[in-house]
Amino acid sequence: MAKSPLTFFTICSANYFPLARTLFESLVAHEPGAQFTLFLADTLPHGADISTLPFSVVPAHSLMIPSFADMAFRYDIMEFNTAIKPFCFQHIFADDPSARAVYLDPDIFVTGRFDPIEHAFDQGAELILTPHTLAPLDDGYAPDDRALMQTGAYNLGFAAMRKTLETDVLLNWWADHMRTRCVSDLPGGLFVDQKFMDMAPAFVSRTEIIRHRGLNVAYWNLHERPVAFRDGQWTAGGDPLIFFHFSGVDRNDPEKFSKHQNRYTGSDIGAARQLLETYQQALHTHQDPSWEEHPYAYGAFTCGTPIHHMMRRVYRRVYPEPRDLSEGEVFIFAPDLYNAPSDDLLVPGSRPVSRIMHETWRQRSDLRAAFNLRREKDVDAFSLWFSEKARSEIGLPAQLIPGAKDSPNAPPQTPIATAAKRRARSIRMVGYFSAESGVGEGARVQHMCFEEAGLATSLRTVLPSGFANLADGRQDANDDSAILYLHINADQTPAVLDSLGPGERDGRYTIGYWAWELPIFPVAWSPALDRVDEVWVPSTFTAKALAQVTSKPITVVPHAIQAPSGDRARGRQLLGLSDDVVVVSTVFDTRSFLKRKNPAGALEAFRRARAAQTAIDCVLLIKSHGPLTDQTAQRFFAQAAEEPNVLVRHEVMDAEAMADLYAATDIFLSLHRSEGFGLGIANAMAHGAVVIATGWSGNTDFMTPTNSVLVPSTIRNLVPGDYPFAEGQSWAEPDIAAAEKALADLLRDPAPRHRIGQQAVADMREELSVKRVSQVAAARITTIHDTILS
Amino acid sequence: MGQPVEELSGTPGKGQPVVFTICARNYLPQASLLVASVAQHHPGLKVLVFVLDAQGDEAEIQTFLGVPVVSGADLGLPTFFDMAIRYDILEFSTAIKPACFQYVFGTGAPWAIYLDPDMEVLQPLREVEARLARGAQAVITPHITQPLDMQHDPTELKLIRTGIYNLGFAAIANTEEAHRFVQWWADRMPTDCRVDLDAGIFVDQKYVDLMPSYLPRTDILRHRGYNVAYWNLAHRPLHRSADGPWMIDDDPAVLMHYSGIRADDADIVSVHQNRLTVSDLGEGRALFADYRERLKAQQTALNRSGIATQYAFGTFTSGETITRLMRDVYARTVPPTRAAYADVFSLEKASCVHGATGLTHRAAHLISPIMFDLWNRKAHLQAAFDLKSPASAERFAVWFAETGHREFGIAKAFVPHAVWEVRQERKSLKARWALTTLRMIEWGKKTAFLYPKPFRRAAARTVRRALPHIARRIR
Repeated sequence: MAKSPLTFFTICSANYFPLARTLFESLVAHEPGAQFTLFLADTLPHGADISTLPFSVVPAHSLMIPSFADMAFRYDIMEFNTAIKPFCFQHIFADDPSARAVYLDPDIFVTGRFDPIEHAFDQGAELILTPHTLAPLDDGYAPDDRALMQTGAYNLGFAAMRKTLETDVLLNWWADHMRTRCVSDLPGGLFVDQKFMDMAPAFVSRTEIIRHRGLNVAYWNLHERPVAFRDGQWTAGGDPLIFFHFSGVDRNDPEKFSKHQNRYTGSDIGAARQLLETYQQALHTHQDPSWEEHPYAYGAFTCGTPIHHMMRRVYRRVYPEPRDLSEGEVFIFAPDLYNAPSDDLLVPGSRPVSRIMHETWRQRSDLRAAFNLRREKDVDAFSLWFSEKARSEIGLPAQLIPGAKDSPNAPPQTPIATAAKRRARSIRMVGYFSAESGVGEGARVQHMCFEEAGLATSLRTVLPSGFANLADGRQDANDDSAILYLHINADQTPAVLDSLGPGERDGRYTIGYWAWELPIFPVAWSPALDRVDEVWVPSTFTAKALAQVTSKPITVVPHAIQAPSGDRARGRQLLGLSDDVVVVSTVFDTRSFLKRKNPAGALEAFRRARAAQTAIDCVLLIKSHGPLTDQTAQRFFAQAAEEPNVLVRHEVMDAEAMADLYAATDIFLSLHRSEGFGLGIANAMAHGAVVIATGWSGNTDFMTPTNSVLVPSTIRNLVPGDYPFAEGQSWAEPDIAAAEKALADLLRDPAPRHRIGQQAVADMREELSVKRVSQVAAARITTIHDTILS
Repeated sequence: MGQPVEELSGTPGKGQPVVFTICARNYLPQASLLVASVAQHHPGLKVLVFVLDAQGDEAEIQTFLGVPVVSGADLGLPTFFDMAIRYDILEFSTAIKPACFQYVFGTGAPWAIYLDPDMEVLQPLREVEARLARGAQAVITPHITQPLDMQHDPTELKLIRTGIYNLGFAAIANTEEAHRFVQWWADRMPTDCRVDLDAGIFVDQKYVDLMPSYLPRTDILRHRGYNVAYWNLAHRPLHRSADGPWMIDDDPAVLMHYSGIRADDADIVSVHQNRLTVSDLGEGRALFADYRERLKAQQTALNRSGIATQYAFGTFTSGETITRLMRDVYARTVPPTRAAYADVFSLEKASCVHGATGLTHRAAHLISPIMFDLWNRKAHLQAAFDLKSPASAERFAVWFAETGHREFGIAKAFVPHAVWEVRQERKSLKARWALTTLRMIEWGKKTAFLYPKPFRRAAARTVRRALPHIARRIR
């Protein structure tokens, strides 16, 4: 076969020009004189002189794609950029049938020669693909193996091909699918151009699935190929680094290594950080406003109205097949296309839902959960929501919003002074009073505390979905309390306040009771701070987090622990265990993050402690509830199932059964990484169990060396996937060996168990009883009245 | 492509290569045909059959098949019975595949070939042996080797969603690297061997899309004679001259896969497709007809043998059929657990009847998880009932007990006992009359002051006497 040099190309729109330029410069630095073409998924910017560029530029419309305009409209900018890839290969092969074409994503940075690719071609390869990774990705971060199964085994940021009978067949087949199916629809089995190429090794016998570790290094394979710089040479996993793929990089912030993943921050990618900064530097050097400021040619209708991605989705649904129309015909703004009643939704008797409304509903899980469009009442409620929010939240033009009106934003700020005129020492409580959740229970107990303190209260129940106007259940009539108390977390506070009427909301001294489990309060929630006058928190740990971001008063009001009501015998019966078995319990909800609750740590400590104490009859009770959709949870339970003496109870238990379960517990094990308060721990202590827990964060407010066992820990920084708002946070890594030792000692010797347990019962009664907490709350309310409101 | 031939990196031991299949007892006729064809073309190979639901009758099954049999329960899977109820028969038979490979590797076999029970070997598997000998650590076969279409079932997209490679066939070498891959594969089997295309999962098969990435020297065998089935027969016309071997153009047909064939229906190629009719098979029609005849004969033989043919994990211990829906409810609400057969398959403990739904109102106990699940799936039920309102939930429960359960093929045994009581209350005319009377009496007491005293006394006496009779009619 004729040996010809590699022909490189990339595809991007004008706004990505600096990336393409950077790619080109890095390429020619290692492959001098390389042939390079930029296929522009856009039009040329006005005044751009491409003859001065050191590479050729081919605008996409000159690729002679049938139904070109249809594709340009059907797809958003990212999809369109990938959809034309097979046509670009065909274009190159039409020019030069012997070409060895190499596609590179514009966000690639070349650091070495493409010798392994040349070599593979020399050996007869017709198609060369790079697997995302050569080793499993199943550490609980994204992306994982499942994500690769959904998006494609091979990363199509790179593909190399030469023209043969089989690659011709592959290209025609691929191009044909790209005319309508280059979308990201993971449930439908589609992921732009990439997923289809899983089929390539089946169609092209000489497909080389290349395992060189220096090719296509990116966030999806850094775990198996650490990047290093030695003797002037970049390497990855021991192979020379040929190119790095900076997918999802932020041009300015090296700390955000890639937005498409949560495994790494810029601080834990090793030497790749240096390469990342070099790359960002290069991007800045190649900035070019005349290209970057060119508006995307296929981003607006001929009349100038921007094309919203919901519109493209409606179009795709209405026209599943390619349409041979000109740009003028496709890009004309025809509101009827979007305003027509949805074809898939006909509810007799109710008002019609337009296609764009239906599409919006389909795309948002919160809307799907709140409105059942098969019910007339919900259709009306959704229509109302759409007319009020479609502009501000979705950004749709007025022509597509029936009864559009500008909703009043920014609720008026009210002076505290008016609050003073209202009924003193009376509290309007807003919370999820009817919800079977931790926050709901907290609100009910707090209500109990206010009653205990003799404070007048009135209740307002909201639904946990955040749609407070749809709430039903306990609802007291409007009142005139001076204090508005929201037992609702910061994230939901603005939405709940918005949904209350001004008469109920304004002119009162507003207190928010907020839980948070990590040392830094999320920046995203700071708008909530502007909406309250004071914050109550359950622990000094949370108070410290808030003190960094606000100067408003912060009061620590711990969760009240009701008098222990559980019965040990009943609990043992519930578990089917006799009284002489030592029960070690760990409790969690799969919704509140397994990484934080760390039941795996508890399982490990128990496994090791038991191995050393085989003579003692003991079980680990894992009490949990919550959805099982998460793979991490499933994997944890599968591991637990392999252990003898582990008892799993995955079910919702009512408060009574939970109390019995605490009473039946001898040792409560919580090797959490951080707690805002530690409600489960406090409940177990109130029932006389010996708690072994990580000695860090909220639970140290009430845990002491005499009433429990505190496990030492080391502080570790979080990576993005560890927890919501993980950036800059740290938490504790409990010492499993220390926990194991403490557990083994307690298993062996019942005497200290009894002593510590009795101390715990006494301390909880002293510090966290309803009576005690009601005094704390009442004292603060009095202070507010005496000093602030008067 | 110039891959270096290296020695197998593992320690194959002294055992001999193994060909194995996995089936539930209802597929024993197919398995017996497969076993015979392997014995004919590979007399030297050891053959094993893993029978998913053999329960103490391994010896009889062994006699029927003529090769050693291993029961699924003997694979040492900690959550075996949990998987048995979580998965349907297809999911479960595939979910133990990685564990079977591990079992076979444990015997020291240098390599193992898995074949689906509905396959038949027409020629020795020389290409596979040659590739293993050249150092391949695995050999897999793509469903198709050229484009199909998007009009007929299965479409190209469906094949992409269910897996590029058909896992009716897989050969894996007993090497360190292969062990690591098989372990990764096996780790997914306790909960993620489902048919769940939306989540990108299709039993054990979809995971193998990543095999060429994760296992070096995975060989993708595109020989047209391998794994010939409805998904590629459109491109692979079968023919033979005189009594010669079956051919596909110039290639010998080596391994047939009669997926979805029906022994008693000569008019269909496979129940899983709509692309081909039997006439499209051309000469191959004779091959299919011959297989069907022999399959029928084996079915008769199995019936005569006295071996139970009903799937052992298809019913509760009390005999009620376990439907797909019940398995779904189980999978969603119960984490993988180590449990005994009697615990998992007892109706008294069944999660689909006794588990939690998340409803909290006073009628919540009338709605079992399976009823809740049905309501969540069916738009017409949501339009008719609102389970968040207790009154409507009660109506739904009574409707379900009276007629609804039939609509979904669910036995009456799965209706919570409390519903029958409510239904009884609502149904009885006498009870309704009694309730109305009670209300009238209450109302009468409030207005009693309007009447003269003798009237009031007489009325009170009557009420006192009648009350026990009225109350009896309500309960």
